[in-house]
Amino acid sequence: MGSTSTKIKLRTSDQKVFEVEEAVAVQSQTIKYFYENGCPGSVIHVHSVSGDILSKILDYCKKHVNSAAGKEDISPEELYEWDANFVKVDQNTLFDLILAANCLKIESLLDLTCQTVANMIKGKRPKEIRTTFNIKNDYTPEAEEAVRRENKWAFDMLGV
Amino acid sequence: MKSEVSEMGSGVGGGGGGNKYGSLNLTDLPQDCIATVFSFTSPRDACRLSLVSTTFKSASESDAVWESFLPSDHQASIPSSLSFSSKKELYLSLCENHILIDGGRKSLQLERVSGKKVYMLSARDLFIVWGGTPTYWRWISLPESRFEEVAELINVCWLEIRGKIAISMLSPMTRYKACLVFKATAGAYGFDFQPAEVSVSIAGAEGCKRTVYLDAARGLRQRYQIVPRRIGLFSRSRFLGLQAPVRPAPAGGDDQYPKTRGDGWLEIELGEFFNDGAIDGELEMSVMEVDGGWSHCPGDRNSAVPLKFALDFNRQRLRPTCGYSSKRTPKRRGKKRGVGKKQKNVEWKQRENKLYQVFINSGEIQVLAGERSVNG
Repeated sequence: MGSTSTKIKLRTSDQKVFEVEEAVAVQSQTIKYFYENGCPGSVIHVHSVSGDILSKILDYCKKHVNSAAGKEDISPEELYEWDANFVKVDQNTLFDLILAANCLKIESLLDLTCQTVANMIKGKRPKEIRTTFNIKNDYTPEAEEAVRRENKWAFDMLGV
Repeated sequence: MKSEVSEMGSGVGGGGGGNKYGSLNLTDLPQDCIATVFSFTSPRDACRLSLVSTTFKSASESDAVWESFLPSDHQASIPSSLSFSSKKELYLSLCENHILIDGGRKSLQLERVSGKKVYMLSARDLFIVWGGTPTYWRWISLPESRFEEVAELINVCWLEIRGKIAISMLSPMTRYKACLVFKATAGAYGFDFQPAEVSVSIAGAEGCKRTVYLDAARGLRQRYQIVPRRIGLFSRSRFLGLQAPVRPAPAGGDDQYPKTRGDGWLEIELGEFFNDGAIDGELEMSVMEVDGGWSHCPGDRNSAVPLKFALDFNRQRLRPTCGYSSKRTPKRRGKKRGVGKKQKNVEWKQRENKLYQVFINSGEIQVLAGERSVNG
């Protein structure tokens, strides 16, 4: 395990094939499962992930594997900085990364991406959140008022 | 042979990065992903999210979200008699109402905004020097305390109160403030003159010591530059022919004096502590006032040395007569306004043994600041 020479082949939803170092690929618990339970040398189909997204995800895994293995001289602060830059992407890509991280079961990436979306929510008024994420308010005025009353304490500081 | 990774049934993932902005919505993510996102916000944000849309409401109220706001060990603390329909309800209930733990010796509550744990250590859970000697301390029950008993100070020359709590019980990555919660009728003797030394530290380590005054009236005077007129009920010194030494306002600010709490008690800050989650052991808070020396002798009322504490033996309870420390102002005070000095002194004389009461309710560990972090 962990040998640099072993490669795993991954095929994406748009039929792109990636040859990935085993140590990097098995950051995904899902790939790890298929790798360990499938035939050696077979191609693992990652149906739900596009080539663009998988390429980004593999960058992430590579960075973290190399950093953990000491192959790359990078301080925790620098890695943190790298992560912060990694998620500086448009919303759509961010959601795609969340879907992929969830499906591939890469916990640290799922946390990183979900935290990023959470940061876009924190401290905002409902109206601002709707704008940020392009969400339609489907409440009737009465229902909205009831929910507001129910959660009154959370709005006290906002003056909304 | 081929292996396939295709666990998503929602049919939204595949397209990938080439899509235009807006084509994939937050609400298109699987429920558990939305819950993960929401659990990285805060309890207040989660409540606000429920107003965004009906989909957001159900996601923001899910147990998965609120479970993450609750302390990881909350289940051990909650009596089995209490049942809640959801984790959100449980959370809000723990913020609203404390629960007694440790056989009624401590109480636990959550700070609503952060979900961090706030503890109160009952007077019985504190180490009060001479606490077991009825001449010095008496154990009574007060309706305004959440605990069965509070300690009533009778008369001591050595005031030492310590409280300890296992650091593992505190929320990680949280700055805490320890307070002594007590009540003293105006002019409790000795409090006025002698500063007390307080500290908060890891048990066994030398903590940073601060000086505070347990007399709230002194704090008000210092703050608002009120020259004590010392008449009537407030004027024990006058009656005794003493004048309180006028000290310059010490540098240090408001936290040197007790503050009135919403529940009518006073609290004095003992110190702060940051729990980074990696420290073992116990947190110790202490209040010490021993430097004034032994000064109290019941007959020696004209002693030039201020008595440390002279307290009420009578069951009649005088509420603090200054508006700042109690919602209820005794009727008597209003009526007696404008009455001649002589009569006041008469009243004073009648009451001289009944004036001062000090009750120690608890030590409290409050949350000063706590950020929810990625690693919980």
